[in-house]
Amino acid sequence: MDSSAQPDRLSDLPDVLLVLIISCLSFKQCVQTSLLSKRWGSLHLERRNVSFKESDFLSPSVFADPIRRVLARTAFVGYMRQWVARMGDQPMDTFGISISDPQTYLDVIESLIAFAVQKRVKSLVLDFSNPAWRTFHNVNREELVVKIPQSVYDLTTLESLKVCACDDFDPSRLSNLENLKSVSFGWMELTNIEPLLKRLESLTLNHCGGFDFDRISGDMIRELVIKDCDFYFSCTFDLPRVDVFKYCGDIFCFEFDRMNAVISEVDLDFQVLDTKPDDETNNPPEGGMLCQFLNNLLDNGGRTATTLTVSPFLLKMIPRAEYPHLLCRMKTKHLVLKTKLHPTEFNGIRVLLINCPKLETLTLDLLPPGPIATVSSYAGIDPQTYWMQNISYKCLRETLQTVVVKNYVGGAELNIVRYLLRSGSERLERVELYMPFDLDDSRKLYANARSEMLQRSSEHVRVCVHNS
Amino acid sequence: MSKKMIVLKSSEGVSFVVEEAVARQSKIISFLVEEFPDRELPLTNMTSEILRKTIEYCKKHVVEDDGGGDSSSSSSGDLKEWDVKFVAEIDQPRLMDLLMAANYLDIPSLLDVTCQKVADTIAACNDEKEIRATFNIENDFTEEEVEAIRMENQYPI
Repeated sequence: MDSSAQPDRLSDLPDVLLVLIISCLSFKQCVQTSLLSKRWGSLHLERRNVSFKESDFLSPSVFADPIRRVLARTAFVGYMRQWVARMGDQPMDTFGISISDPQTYLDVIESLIAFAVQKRVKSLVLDFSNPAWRTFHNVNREELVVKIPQSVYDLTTLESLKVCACDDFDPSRLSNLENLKSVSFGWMELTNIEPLLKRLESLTLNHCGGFDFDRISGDMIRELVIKDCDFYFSCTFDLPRVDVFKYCGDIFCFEFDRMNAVISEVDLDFQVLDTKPDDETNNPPEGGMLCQFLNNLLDNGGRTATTLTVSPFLLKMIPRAEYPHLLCRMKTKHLVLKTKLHPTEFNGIRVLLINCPKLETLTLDLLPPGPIATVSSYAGIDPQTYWMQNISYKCLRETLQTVVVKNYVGGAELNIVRYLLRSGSERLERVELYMPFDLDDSRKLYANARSEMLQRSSEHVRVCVHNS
Repeated sequence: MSKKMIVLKSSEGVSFVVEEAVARQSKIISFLVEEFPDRELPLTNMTSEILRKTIEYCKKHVVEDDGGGDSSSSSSGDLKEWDVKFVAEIDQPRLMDLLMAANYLDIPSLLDVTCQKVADTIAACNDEKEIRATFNIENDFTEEEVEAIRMENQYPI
């Protein structure tokens, strides 16, 4: 047996702290801790946040096999029942159920919701969406069978609520809940939302549609997250205190009314449009539309997005707009480029560098497929030589301090890092390289060696490699 | 206008002079400062090393109120990144000390980041054996008892 001198400091912590720690774990991992030792035996029953997720229990392969799926689901539901029966009088803050095809288990779901209501939880997740759904249009109305009971609409302790794929859901009936600050709705038609928005601080809309509104207005909203929603042509945003604005989906006609002058975080992802093969000649309309989207959102430079995150599609399309020079100058300090480092994205990276003269940090977040050194050239852009040209920009000469690479593997991304180091001023002091956590040892060695080469060739800059 | 300073003393008797606003992130110190103004506060169960770390954290997280409302010195995103680095650089025994200190001094945000770090370490393990090895937890179960727990939890795979 292990007889090392190191004491077990973790198990020595008092119960309250251990419960805090395991409350940070996923439910499945939390239950696993009961196998550690007698000390840990029933601690997991004390946790104040419980969320039952079908996906924690059913791996995708089990989910795909009809018979194994039925068996596993039965076990999952039995598990939930038993767990709730063992719960004592201890208080509970958070409760969640996520299960697809709820039809078979309506009675269990009803009793679990009643349990959460009786515990007066502060945070509630009721998610009946199906992992097989891809878009809002995959949702068949007949599959939406769970009705939110009146007791939830009356649950005054609620601070945060997530509702996905429910039938006949009426958000306006939540508008009397004074503590409710954060809501997330997904996979259903959504109407009657205006009365609720007044008090909210955080709103998430995920794969929703059938809207009866063309305006999202909330004086208190600090965070708005929209993912693949089906807007009816246009929408006006009126969010005078918004701090985080994340949009993922198609391009609609968005107008911006009163908006915070400085938005800390703007994240734009139009990857859903990245379906067509590249057409080298045309000016695709999306380019101009995206420029206009950015100009509108940033009030032609009058508004600031302190951190701006963009996707490869935007990088690809913006330089191909008919009038890319009409893109406004931005006061962004931190630019996060989600990129596949495909040559089609290079001009877009340039356009954004030109338009962010106050940039302090540039993050390259490399997406799979990883950068392949031998990508063929594209429309006259040769990936081997593109970043060797000596063109510098205001931000590189004057403000850029830090370059961050996420999912660094020591490949073609170093071309652009070297370019930034060459063009940067002495203000540029740090390069942070984060390796992906699943990199194998030999590739880690390679990536490390390449970073050391980078360090040797640039003395005034500190190169740090992180093993994430 | 000079900022008000207070003195915290570690278990080794080392004194740390800290701005009051920084120290007040601890609800306990906040209470003590009001009850016993102008007194040195002895923190007899905290080593200098841990106290220094705790102060470093509080300094970073102090919300500067210079008339301009709630203008924190760093944006929330930067602060989060700083937190991650802060706990990443601490070894396991010290992390436990810091977690205890955050609990003792009642600094909720520091308690959150330290608990999260321990939880992340647990989550990174593949099975309970690896968790035991990582934290030197002695397995005092018999094989039969482990089986019984597995059955009880009806662990569906």
